[in-house]
Amino acid sequence: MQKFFNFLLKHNAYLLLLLYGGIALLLIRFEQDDMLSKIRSGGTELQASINEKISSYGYLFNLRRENDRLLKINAEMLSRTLRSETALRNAKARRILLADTTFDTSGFIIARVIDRKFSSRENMLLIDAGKKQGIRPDMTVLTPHGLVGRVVFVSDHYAGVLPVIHSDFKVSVISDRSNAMGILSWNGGAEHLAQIEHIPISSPLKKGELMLTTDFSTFSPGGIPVGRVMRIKPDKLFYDITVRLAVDFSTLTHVLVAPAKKDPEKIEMLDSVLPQDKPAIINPVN
Amino acid sequence: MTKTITLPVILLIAVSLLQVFGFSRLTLLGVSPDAVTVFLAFMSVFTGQRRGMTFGFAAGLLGGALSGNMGIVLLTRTIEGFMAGYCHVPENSHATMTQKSRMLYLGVVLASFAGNLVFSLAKNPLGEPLLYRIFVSGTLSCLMNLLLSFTVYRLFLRKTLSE
Repeated sequence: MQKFFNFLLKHNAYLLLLLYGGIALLLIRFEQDDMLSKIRSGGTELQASINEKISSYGYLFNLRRENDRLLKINAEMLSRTLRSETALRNAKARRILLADTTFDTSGFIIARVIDRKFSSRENMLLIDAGKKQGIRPDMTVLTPHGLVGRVVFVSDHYAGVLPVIHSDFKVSVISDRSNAMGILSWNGGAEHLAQIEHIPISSPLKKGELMLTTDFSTFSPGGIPVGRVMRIKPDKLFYDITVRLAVDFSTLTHVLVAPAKKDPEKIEMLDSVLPQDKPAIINPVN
Repeated sequence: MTKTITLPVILLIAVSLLQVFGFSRLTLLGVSPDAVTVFLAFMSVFTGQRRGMTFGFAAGLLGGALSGNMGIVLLTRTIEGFMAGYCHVPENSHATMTQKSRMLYLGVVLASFAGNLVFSLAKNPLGEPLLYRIFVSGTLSCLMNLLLSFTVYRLFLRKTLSE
């Protein structure tokens, strides 16, 4: 017994490390647990509210530039709306026939980006809209220019967004002209460039084509611009494609949050077919 | 009680908040200086490995609750406290100020590198190659933390320790 106590006294730092390490590993294992989610939600709320106050001071100094930028976007939106209205009239019959009933296109929520972490430890956007504004996990976040990311966690007034430029983010995309389909992901490096995989070299894809989200996605509505093909390099079976992303993440201040897809049957079916080893916070469903 | 627990706990909270809302925004190649690591190294070097680890655990709880990665931040901070504890300078030692400062810098380097290694193995939000993360980001993180600890030592700690 004495020897045992001597051993404990001699190696107590290691035992303490084991104890703390064990608790940490348990927390990693049960990261999706309700209580931990509540703690995370509370932490997000606190962090976001302080960040909002900090960023609001900087915001005041940038009002003139912000106004110019908004005017420019307004002009662009007006021209786009006029073009879309004409196109819509012409395609009305076709639209009715092909209408996607899996998601509700009304009720986009506007939110302000109040914090952006882009480091080797965190890569996340925080927006000032949460559960109370109707935000739910897996909602699509976008701007008039294109796809921004996906909501991954929500507190009462704030939400965390996994951006396209996160190594865990994946989304299925389709070309507007050649209909070539692949999976877009970001492998690090420049934040305005992403990669597309699984497009066979037999595909007629050309440089400059616009890539849009597909209707296959379990979270994103189809037809959201993601980026433009910048470089195509043939590999053995598939093209190695680089895309210039539609959204400039360095100047992102406001975003729109699209309503969640109402497609539970499809998600349930995929969940029952796919293995259940989901990562701790992020579930990279394309 | 005040000197050994209350003051360090208040400091820990202040440093954690400063890290989350201040230092984490100063990034260079995706790496930012880590004031919490420097604080933990200081605690471990001057108050011992066990206390350093315990403060690491507390810092992990606080930082994890704020960042959302509770488990991994907890593990990283605990290991940082543990590693820096290998450079412990006992209170009754006859070490000179230069020796103490060297031990502090060594503790910062050990804690930074170990923390970066643990975090790199668990998370990779920027999609960097693992070896790049371990060696380039690890080295850069060590250098930034060294610079921070050097500044803090020169401004505050030297006077406090000599007393």
